[in-house]
Amino acid sequence: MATRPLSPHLSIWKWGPAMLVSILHRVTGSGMAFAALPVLLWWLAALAGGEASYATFAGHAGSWYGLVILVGISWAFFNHLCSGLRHFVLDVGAGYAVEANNRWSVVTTVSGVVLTAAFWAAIVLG
Amino acid sequence: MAYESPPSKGTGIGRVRGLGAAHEGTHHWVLQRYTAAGNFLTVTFLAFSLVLLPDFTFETVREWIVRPLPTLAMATLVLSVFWHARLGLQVLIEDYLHNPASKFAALLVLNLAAFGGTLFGLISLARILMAAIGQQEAAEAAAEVAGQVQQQIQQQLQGLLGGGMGQ
Repeated sequence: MATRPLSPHLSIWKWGPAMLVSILHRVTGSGMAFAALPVLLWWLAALAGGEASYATFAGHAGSWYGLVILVGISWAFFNHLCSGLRHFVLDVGAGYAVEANNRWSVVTTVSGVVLTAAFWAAIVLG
Repeated sequence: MAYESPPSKGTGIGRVRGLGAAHEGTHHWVLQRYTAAGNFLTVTFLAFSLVLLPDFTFETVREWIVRPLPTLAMATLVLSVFWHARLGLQVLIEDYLHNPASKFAALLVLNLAAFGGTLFGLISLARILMAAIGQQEAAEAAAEVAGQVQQQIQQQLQGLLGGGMGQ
């Protein structure tokens, strides 16, 4: 490994937990903008449209592909939430030491998955 | 795009200020945090509400959403998430689109989509409320008519019975 600083380019960056959190934050954020926001608007418009339009929405949302998208959206939200909270911590100047940064990056990524699982467990079992 | 290099004097912060992809951004950065806090509160409210709802039928979801707190939370959610998404995608555009014309066009489309999406969400919420109010008024009007009919029947019955007993 070269001792000089490595160029911050996607294809030649040395992968580490912090980079994973960073790119997942961007991917989940833009993913939600293009998938979750249209679903949110469709849901509200279906509720406004009455029983028939809501049934159409519910039919798609409850299908296998609808559930795949909804689980994906919820994971994107919880992942983005956790990495966003990490941003708040970094904003005050904490958590930059390499070891702490790597540890909290892993915690952030795992928490997103755990919260998603907990949310769906609560939906299904509740 | 050719940027004019700042003079290589002054403090460290003075030499790098304005060299980012957007050339500025403290206000943007702060707004991103404010809206993030708004998203945290409102989407968490939505997530807990979805978990607590007994089912997702039309009646159940509509009864929930027309209550004052959920309506307020959902309206705030729409405003906050669209604002936050607008700010986030702006950074994406500034990072990846270097041609000034494409960047301008993309930001134009982004602004229209964000405004349009926000208004569509808020108008949908207003329509949900108006439909609920309309149904309530219709139910009240029906109850009033039913009450009047009942009263008339009672009066006629009393008239018949009273008349019969009197004679």
